[in-house]
Amino acid sequence: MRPLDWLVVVAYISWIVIDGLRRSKGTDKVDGYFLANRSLPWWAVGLSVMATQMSAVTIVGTTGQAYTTGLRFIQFYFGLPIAMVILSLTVVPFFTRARVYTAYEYLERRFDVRTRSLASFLFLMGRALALGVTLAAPAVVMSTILGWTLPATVAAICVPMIVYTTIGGVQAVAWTDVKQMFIVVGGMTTAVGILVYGITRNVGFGQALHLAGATGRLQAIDFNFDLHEKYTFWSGMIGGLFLMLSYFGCDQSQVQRYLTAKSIDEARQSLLMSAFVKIPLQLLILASGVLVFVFYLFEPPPMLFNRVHDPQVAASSRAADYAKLERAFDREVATRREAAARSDRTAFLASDTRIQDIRSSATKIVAETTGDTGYNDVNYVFPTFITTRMPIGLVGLMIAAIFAAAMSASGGELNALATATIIDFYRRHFVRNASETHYLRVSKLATISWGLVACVVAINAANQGSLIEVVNRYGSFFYGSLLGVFILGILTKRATARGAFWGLLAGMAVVLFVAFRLPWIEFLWHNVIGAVVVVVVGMAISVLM
Amino acid sequence: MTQELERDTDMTPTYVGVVILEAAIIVVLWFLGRAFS
Repeated sequence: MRPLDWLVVVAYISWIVIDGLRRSKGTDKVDGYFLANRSLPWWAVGLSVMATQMSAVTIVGTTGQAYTTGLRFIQFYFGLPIAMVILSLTVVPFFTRARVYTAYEYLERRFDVRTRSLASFLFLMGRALALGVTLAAPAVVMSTILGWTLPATVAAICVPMIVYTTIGGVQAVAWTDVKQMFIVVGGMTTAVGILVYGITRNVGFGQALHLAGATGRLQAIDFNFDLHEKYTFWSGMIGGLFLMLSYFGCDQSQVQRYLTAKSIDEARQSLLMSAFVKIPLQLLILASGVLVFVFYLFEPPPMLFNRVHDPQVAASSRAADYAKLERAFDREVATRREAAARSDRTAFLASDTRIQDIRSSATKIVAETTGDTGYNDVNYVFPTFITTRMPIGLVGLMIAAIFAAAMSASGGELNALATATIIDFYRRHFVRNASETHYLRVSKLATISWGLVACVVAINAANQGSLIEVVNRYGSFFYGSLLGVFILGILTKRATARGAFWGLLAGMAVVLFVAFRLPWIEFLWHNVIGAVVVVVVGMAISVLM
Repeated sequence: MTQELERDTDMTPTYVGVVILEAAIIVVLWFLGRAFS
């Protein structure tokens, strides 16, 4: 990073904080602070919806995933457009007319306070931990890339985000998200342009596609119905549909985005923006990863992209083995480049397989010598490309884009955590008739408190790979079940409060059992199982008791 | 304000557009995988 790059990053972060605060009009009352007085245009809400979903992991992790496995991750999003259509027809008009602040308020109106509080509590626990992980994953990568300490990197993301979210409320979050999305899309498009330019200096674009395709990286669609496979057409279409219905329909961090829209129509349009744009945008990001792979066919890549343990490995008893692997890697990269240049498919694939084997051996040495069993290389591919191969100034833009994605995803989540805390618990159970000024003050306190909790979780989660996995699984424990309880409330008249409450608990228990006792069922299916169990058990209890 | 909030028009053509676009993307991706395998 050169001074110009730092200038870009600092100028960008300062601009989003200042402009976020400038746009936070009418936030002196709870309605303005949490719902922007229901005044935002559809395109701003739509961009905010997309920015909240797109974390920095989407940029660093997805590109790395595409570098190693190709486009198949796109199938994860196949349920999203259909989910948006279903939500536009059902919960959007429903929540907007109900004039709720949180999705869980509806559960009290339909069932009872117990079901509302349980659902809101599940959201708070899951989202607070997830927010920590949302911050931890990019912070770990960026701290290595930039040479900062982890707490300093977490603070660089959190402090500006907490400041504009606390002072400006949902309006500051939404307008900041708009800018973040332009930076992210602009940055990714620029990266793709630079990659294409770099590749076509060595080989034609058609030949580049053939090289990527030969390694299976352009095989995006897998029509096999296999519960063991994480990403297939069916897991994305069915499991992904349930996940997206739950995330956009029952998760306060998304519901709150479209509750700020001017009308039912505008709230719908904001969701439909994602329905049209999300898959192409995700393809752009995945394509960057595939292009980075092709780029490194002709330019020497590092054996491992995550070099954080280099000094430890060099000082260990395996240093000679590691150095030997590096020499073998360099030779094999040259062999692969020659095979690629003369379009010798057999030699190219054989060499590529040997390179993957060398990388696996190197990863094992790093894990053995450092004890870092959760050693991750995938997330470092794209940041390494950015910082070593992109022109001065654009490096700053891309680093700003990664920071932007981290802040925009976490700002919306932080705002939603404060809303659920104040509306579903503080105002409902503890202080029922205080002034607007009082609620506004405690809302800001709640935002700061959750922000600090997220920072602490982020710093601790970063050092515990297993915790990150638990948090990711936790989301699937309750997402499907939460969807089930909303289905019971909205689509059936016979469901009772008792049925909804016990159905919700039963759904989570079954998903917990499936997750730990039947681990071969991939997590996207947990959302289907949870929703179905809640509806079946909830209806059975409602009818029989 | 209330009248504006209640604005609720039929968007069936947009929903159809969403489904058509998704189907087209899936077909293109499938062909891309086949053509460059």
